[in-house]
Amino acid sequence: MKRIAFVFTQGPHGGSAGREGLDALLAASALTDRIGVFFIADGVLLLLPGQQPEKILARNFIATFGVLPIYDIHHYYICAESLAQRGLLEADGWVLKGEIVRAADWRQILSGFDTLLTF
Amino acid sequence: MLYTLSHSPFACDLAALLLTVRAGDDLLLMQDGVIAGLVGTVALAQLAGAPAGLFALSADIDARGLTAHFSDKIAVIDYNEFVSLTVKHAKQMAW
Repeated sequence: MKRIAFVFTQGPHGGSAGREGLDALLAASALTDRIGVFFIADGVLLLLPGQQPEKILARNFIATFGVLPIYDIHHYYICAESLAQRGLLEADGWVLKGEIVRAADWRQILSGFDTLLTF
Repeated sequence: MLYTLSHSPFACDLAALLLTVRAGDDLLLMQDGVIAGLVGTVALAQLAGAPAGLFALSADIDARGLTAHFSDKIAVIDYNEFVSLTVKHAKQMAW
């Protein structure tokens, strides 16, 4: 089975990319546990705590990120530079515990995957 | 003129928008545009230098969990105040 990297690059509730990526991730988790999940650029915003999407009549899919470890997905990487650019390096209470890594480092980790899916 | 920004500042040309903003104009951040109001972003520094009044829609900030990280230099408004802005300005430019 190929190793698959899921790369989230867009923030929540402005479009459907985050929700679609999460659905694809859950589906893939049934077939393999050789999965890595990367949160980069606006994708880091997916993991901010305290989101209230019901205020804009959007579905709250964010909590599902928090239960991904139950699906045997254990490798999460959050881009340090993306956090810094958004003033979020000191933020805490993230929905999902991920490793905060510099771009050069997660790029290296990405090289270990056979297929990349970007959302 | 009322300017509305509905895209993330990381996904659009904010500098181009700000080129035409004049004194008396208002700029409203909405949808993903509220990301431009995060403290510590380059976008916020760009907005702070603009002559326009700065506003952001509270529902979009709350929806994304950005409240604790949002700049106090931007007036946070609700939908009713958004309507008031559209009444105040005869023209709107959507970005």
